[in-house]
Amino acid sequence: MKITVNNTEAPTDLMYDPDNGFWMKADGNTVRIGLNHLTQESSGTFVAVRLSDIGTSLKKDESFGSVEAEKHVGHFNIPLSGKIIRKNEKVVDNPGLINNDPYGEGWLIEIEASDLESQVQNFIQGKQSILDWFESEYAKMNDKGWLAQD
Amino acid sequence: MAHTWRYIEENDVTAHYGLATDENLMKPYVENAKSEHQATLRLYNYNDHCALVGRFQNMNAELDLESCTRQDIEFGRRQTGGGAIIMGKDQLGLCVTCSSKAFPWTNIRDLCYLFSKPVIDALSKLGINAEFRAKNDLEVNGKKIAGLGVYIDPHGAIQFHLSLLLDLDILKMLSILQIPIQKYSDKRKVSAVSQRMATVSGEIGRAISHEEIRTLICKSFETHFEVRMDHSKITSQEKTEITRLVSDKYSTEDWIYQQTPQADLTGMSLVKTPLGLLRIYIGLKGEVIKSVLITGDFIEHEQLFKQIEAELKWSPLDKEKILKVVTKVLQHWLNLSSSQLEPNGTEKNALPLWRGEARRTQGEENLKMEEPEMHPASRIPDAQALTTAIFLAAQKAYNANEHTYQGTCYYPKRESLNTPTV
Repeated sequence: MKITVNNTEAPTDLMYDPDNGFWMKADGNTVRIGLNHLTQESSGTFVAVRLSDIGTSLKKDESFGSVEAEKHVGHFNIPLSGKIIRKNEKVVDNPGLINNDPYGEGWLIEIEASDLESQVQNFIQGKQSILDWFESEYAKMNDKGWLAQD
Repeated sequence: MAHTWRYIEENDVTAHYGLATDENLMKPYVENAKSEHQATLRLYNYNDHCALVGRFQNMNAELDLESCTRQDIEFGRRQTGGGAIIMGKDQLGLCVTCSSKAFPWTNIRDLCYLFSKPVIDALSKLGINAEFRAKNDLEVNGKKIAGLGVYIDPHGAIQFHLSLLLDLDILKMLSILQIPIQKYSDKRKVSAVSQRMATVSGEIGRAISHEEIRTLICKSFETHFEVRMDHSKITSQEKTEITRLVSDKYSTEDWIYQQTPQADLTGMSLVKTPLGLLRIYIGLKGEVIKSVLITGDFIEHEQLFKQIEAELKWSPLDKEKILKVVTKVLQHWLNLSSSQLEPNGTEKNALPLWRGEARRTQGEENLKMEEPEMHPASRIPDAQALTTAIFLAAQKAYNANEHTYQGTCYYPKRESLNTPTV
């Protein structure tokens, strides 16, 4: 099940970090993290991605990788604390996967989250909340001309 | 009370010192740090000459390292993204550092425009009409006059880079940078570059001193941000920190020669048109287009091709997306509706477009030359044919992976048999 606003999508079984543009999917304490459709769209073409090593423990907002898109180099700041248990080597080899398949092959890392329940309280969850947030984000980005115009 | 900015001028710095200084100037703006200045503006120039590659570029694919060594040209790796550049006395380096919370911005383009606008205004005082271009460059009449790049560190400090061409020794640049037209004669190479790059001195018809341009830009930042510039020098404490950054990072082999998994590739395709022979050169980084050059024996569509080149820079190598970009530019160019530009449309196809597809000629392994039809009323290329030719150049780049990865362009074996001598 997913929400579609024009050509951008947000699956409703995910959690969304409204501050840093990530989606998260939890399976027990394991959380897979990637960039949501609107964020990848407004970032432009991803040219390079580096991800921190498996086993790295990170606190919320610490960098778990660096990235280049549209001549901008920045960092992925992790939306919740935990230890990296998997990283997507495919996306390191082909960063365009973030643009082409943000919720699928374009995922970034998986972490073993510490105290997951308390950490996810600020994330957007549930169909209606996701719909409200996603429509408003879309409108904001579209107004500013950040989204590709078909 | 108006904010103050720190303002620093420096001359003739080395590549590693110059880059380390910019990084060090971010320190007052990381989270929880305190600075008496809202931001820092540094205007400086490098020694003649340095070569700087972007954060994730592969050094040996971007620069002719043997030539650099032979000419005693220092090279380094920036924190910011984008392509390889040369810097020297004729190029002005501009760096702004600040906290990511210091100014209202929410998108990298906002940020690039925010710090480019004072430079655009300063250039206008010289009578130069510079504009902000799609992929974060400044251009004058479709020619690049400045390149921009941004780095945001994990602790919220921003480094904005701009390199402004006051003048440019094109042959020197071509002897350092690996670009996919090396097989051309010098005259032709210079012509291809000068059609795409502008300089301040070229635009105003006289040489310009660093003092003059720096004064203009400094004042323009003061006006634009309504701030007062606090002129200062790098302190001895900072010099110690910068020296440490040079030795620990910018001069190390680990930093300079780091590799990314994406191969750097170059390739070329040919399309024979009624206008003459069209050559399309492409530079790729993995599946991303680093650069496209469309050249030919005519200049009729120079501006059109330059716009396509600019729009395709740092775009994904995806045929549909390339077609979309090419169609959009042609549409803008011709001011026609989208449907009129459909290459395979119906009655509306009676338009001034080439009819024909650029595809590999059977039996000719390395050379593709197809003669597209052309509507007698016009001489504008067809979006589909142009897209196919661009994609073919990319295919050639992939086919020649091993060869090009060492930093030399792949050329069709039969080129000399079928094309004019250049």
